[in-house]
Amino acid sequence: MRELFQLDVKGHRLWGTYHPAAAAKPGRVGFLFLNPGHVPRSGHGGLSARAADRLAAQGFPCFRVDLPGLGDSDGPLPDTTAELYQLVCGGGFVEVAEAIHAELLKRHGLDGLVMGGLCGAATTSLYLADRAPEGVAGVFLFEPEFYLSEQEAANADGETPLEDAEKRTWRSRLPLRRVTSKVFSYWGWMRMLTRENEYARLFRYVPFPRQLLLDWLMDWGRLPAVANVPLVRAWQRVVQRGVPVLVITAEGKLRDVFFDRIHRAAFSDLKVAMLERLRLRGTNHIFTTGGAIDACIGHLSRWAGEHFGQDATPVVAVPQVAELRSAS
Amino acid sequence: MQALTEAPGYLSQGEQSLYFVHHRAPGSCRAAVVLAGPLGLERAHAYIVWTRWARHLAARGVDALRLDYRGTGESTGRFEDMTLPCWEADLRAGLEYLRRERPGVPVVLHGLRLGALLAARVFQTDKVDGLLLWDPPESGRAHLMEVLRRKVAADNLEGTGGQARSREDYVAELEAGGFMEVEGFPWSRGFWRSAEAYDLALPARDDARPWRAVHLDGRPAERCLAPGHGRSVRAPRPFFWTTSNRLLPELGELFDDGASFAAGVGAVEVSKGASS
Repeated sequence: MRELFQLDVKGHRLWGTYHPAAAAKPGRVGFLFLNPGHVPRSGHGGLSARAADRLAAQGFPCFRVDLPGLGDSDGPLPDTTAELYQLVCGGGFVEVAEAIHAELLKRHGLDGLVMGGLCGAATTSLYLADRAPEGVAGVFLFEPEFYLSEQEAANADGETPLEDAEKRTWRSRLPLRRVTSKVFSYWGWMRMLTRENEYARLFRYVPFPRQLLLDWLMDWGRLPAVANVPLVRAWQRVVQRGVPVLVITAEGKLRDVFFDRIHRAAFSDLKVAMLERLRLRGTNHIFTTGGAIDACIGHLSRWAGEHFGQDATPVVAVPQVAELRSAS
Repeated sequence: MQALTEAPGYLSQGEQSLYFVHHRAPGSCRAAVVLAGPLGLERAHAYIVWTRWARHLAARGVDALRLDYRGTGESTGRFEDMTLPCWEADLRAGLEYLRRERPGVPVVLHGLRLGALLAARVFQTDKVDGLLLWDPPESGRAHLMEVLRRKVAADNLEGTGGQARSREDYVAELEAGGFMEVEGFPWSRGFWRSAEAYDLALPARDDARPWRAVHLDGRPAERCLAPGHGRSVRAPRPFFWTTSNRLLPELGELFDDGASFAAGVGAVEVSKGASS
């Protein structure tokens, strides 16, 4: 069952969907899903909607809310996905997410909300779990992105972005720049090695394994220069506090590789008993292939039952995944 | 903050609920449009533009009703139980709703991509006052094959989706009765077969109702699908229903053309009423 609701927070009118729990219990925990990037609140392939249906059937009230400018909620948006990415990476939606969180707790008399979702939803949820720990009972992060965009990374290193006019001249002078920028670009190589750009198919014909190159490019002991440091710090504090966290990534893809590096660099001395890390094999960043949506929902449901359910029955996970639980 | 003229809701469709958002025109309403959107990832990518298009219409005195087909988005129902005729029924439910909400106001169907195929079918059989198509595929089967091509290309490129297969392999599996995961949705044999012989149903020559098919690739007039009813606009590439870096592409010409068409349907109705 689904109900629609409206929230007026921080000067925005937001729309959301409420999935009432099958069996209401007082003082319970609910789940809040935010937008995966610029995609509406149902998620790619209906991932968020279907996950919320499943959790509600287990006894958890669930909420999916469109942030300002996204889905059905009105509001300003930048012109490009890259600018939206920067906004999210910088915590641009955290304030409004905090207000949503507080309002939902109040309206439904909940003890706490478990927050998360895919990609941008994971970033905002993690920032919020760090900034306002009261009432954030747990975090589920699907394909979290712990790195900045190329432009931001350049700025963070003190490089001044070229003026627009200068950029245009540069492009017009060097039409081959599109190719050379990939050859000499850290990001170009990372995307190629994780098979996320148009040249990835070339790796079929390259006689050395991608993983060796990746290991060579990566300095596993240090945070990468492109790391979103405030988010990594938030991540460390949240995990250190013992907040239950579920991380699911697409095995071998860009976020998966980065998460591994972040994990090794930032968690060597952290207690991670409440962290569960899963990798889904044979899928993409948005989980729309390889049976990943079913697998993801299955794992979220089981994890919810284990951590937040009292008499809820955990659901058996769908078996096409590689499970790597973190060492406790 | 947006005005109270924009509200979502559910319509009952048998045991399922059909999600809609009604964008009401402030003041008098010149026409009302049911928006038949695209499917799958195209829906996800196009959503921001689609929502702004509905607001654009409402701001120009034209009500707009967006809906999610059953089994997708906010609507309930299992995708694997759906067929193209099921979604035609969803559009009819949307038309009924608008007729109830805006009695006497001309009703227009507007479809984008797969939605254009559905809208054209419903226009053939139902009392609708106008039809607007954006980038209609030539048939349901051609459209689904295009989506399958994207799946094959993406899986091969990224090394995902299990063992590499061709489109023909997928078609054979669908025909054999298996479910096929495409863009996160489980296509069934029923769904696949419902797209067979589902050609774009352009209105008959003697159909006097206004309709327009708009191509977004800027093609020359002589290559338009429907002479006399075709229009060509050059929309930014990649198109807004695909993976595009632009959240808010410049679509002023397309929006203005569509809004004037919808409002014009209302004007035709008014003049007919005055002369009769």
